[in-house]
Amino acid sequence: MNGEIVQNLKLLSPELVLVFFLVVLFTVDSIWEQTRKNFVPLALVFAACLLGTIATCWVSKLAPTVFFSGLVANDSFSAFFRYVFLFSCAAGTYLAFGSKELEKQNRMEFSLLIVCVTFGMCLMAISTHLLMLYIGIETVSILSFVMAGFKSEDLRASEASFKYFIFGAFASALMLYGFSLIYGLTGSLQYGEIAQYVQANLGNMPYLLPLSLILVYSGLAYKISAFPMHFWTPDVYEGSPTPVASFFSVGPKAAGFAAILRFFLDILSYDAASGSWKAIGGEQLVSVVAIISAITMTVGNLSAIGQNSVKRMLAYSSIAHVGYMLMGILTLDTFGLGAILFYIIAYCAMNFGAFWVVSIVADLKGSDRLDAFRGLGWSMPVLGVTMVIFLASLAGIPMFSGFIGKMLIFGAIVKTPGLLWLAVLGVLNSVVSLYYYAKILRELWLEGREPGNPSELSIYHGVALVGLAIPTVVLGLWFAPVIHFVERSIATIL
Amino acid sequence: MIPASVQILHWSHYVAACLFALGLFGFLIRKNAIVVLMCIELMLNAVNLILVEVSMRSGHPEGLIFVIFIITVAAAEAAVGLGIILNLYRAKGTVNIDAFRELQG
Amino acid sequence: MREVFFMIFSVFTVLAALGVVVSRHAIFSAFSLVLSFFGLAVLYLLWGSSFVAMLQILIYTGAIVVLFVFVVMLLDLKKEETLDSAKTGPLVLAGVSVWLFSLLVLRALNRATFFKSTNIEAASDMKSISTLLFSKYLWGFEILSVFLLALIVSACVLARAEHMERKADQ
Repeated sequence: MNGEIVQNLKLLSPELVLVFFLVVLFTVDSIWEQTRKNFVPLALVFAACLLGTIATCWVSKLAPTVFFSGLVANDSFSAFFRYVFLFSCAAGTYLAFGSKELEKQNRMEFSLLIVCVTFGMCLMAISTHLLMLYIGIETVSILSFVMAGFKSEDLRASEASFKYFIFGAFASALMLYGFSLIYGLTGSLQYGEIAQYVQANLGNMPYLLPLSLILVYSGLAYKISAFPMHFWTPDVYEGSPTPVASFFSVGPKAAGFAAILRFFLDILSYDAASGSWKAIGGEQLVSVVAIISAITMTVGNLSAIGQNSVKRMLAYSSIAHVGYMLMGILTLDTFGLGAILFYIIAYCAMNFGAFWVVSIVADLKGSDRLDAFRGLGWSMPVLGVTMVIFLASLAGIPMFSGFIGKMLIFGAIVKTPGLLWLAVLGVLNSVVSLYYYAKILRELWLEGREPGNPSELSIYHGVALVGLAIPTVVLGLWFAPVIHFVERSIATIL
Repeated sequence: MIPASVQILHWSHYVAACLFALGLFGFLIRKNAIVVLMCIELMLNAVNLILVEVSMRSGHPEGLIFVIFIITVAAAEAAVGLGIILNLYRAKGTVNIDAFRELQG
Repeated sequence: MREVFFMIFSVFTVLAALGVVVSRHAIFSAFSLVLSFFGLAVLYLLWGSSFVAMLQILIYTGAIVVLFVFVVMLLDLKKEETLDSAKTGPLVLAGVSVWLFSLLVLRALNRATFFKSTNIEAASDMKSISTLLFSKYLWGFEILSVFLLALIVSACVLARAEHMERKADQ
């Protein structure tokens, strides 16, 4: 028994590293008050992420297993998402410490919260049990509410955190109702056992199972801000501090995708031979997901057009990107699902970059309106050029990672019979998105050409922007190994 | 000890559905942020009722453990939520949801 | 006999829940919430799960509702909103959507065949619960402790906001 526990804990070493650093941060905070203002917490978070990455690397080499009596799974799918989360944690902390918005706040507390949210996100990605999924989601949600209101003297931040909280609590109640119905139907909480029971009793559960799946979906859709639960996104992103918003737009979203993929693929038992979900009429479910994806991206893109605040625009655009990513689920093969993971990598870099630029501009001009960007391309060339890269990638222009991601997803969709309309809609949406991204670029480069007061971009931010721009470009040109990697990652849960 | 009679079994599910629907209704119509939070607690309790029922019927205590976790997390959620509401009340002098309109467009 | 009790307390719980939704003052909502939780505890007892019934009383009624009451009393809510002040449009919309939702759930419940276990034993005794909690679910239990650690920090963040505001007042 003891040996087994030690063996199992070994597989959880990335999470344990995070917990260890949580305790270290807690201790350091209480004995050394200076750390609340200096860069010691950043060093600790970086160390946590680095060690976590090494640990992930190490456990991903081991054979895929479901352990702790079926509570969590260790496979290359979880490893992939752990990398994404650790990256977004490190980048989010780095951005937060360089931003003027959070300058006055206690950095130690921020680091503690973000490390614990990362811990929760890892749980969401590795759990194969409804109870674990619930704890993971709540850890992420409840601490995110506090992070959204971290700039506590700001009324808008408090309001953002309130909105986030109310919808989050509502979504988790819906999701729990779905869980309890699933438990009532199948008598189990473990994904594998649920799938077995569902397979064995296909005819016996006509309405209740789809209903409970819809309820669970609405809880998870809140995390990724997909169609029925997307309306909180722009308000929360606008109100919360920009570094926090950029973290929300990447980390918890990727975690939501991890949970959705694992939950639905495991429970609905994707059947490789026939290429469809076995459990409940594959065709119906595919059309439902197709409609959700279509509405999500269209709503996101159309609402983004009229926005004057760039932060809000990016919030809507992040909804649209979720729509694109959801398309990948429809194809139900390694290619399409792998495309989602590729898109997550690309999205991680480019979206973080775009939010980063907004954060810098907001610090500089005190506003994230479009006109705050006027002429900044000329006075801060590094910022201008990297923003071009990020936005071009977000819009899906060739040579950048976003294009490859979109190409993979649309390519997979075109091959799926009956879904050509969705691919066409996706392309049309990309064209629409090009319009509003171009609005930002126009302000950056074409308006106000006179180099008024040249403002210096600090090296701290410059390094980060270039560091995020490089993968965005490189992934657009040299993507074959990454595609291979993501397909290997997704293959373990199919 | 546990008579899993069919009537009781179905009653539980229906009672839970009623509680959940009431919570949902309150969540949609009430304007007082604290009452909205209470309605969410009602929805969570509907879930607990189903879990207890299924767990007692099937003889696996798993559902009861889920209930313990839900209760813990609900307490945490209520504490954080009330903290956020208190902060907003200090700034705005009201807990009416309609007054929280700083973030519109 | 059990069925009769079950029905009585089901109706009681649902009526109390209705009280939470329609009460004009938040404090009455909180009291209705206590009643509703009490009714639920009786239902748990009728199901034979005395442990959860105890938890329900201790934590929900004893801690969570007290927290609610505390906050309601702390806030000086003079102009209390009432149901009458709600506009008819949203009210009807909410009513219709909840009605549709319950219709959907009821329809699904009527047709569903639920899981039937082959071995029905007492699941409720403390021993079986704690054995499971500290063997299979040990990892989940430990995660809760990490989560609560971070919650302490969250509480500090939320409480510090007051502190800053007080400084601004002076």
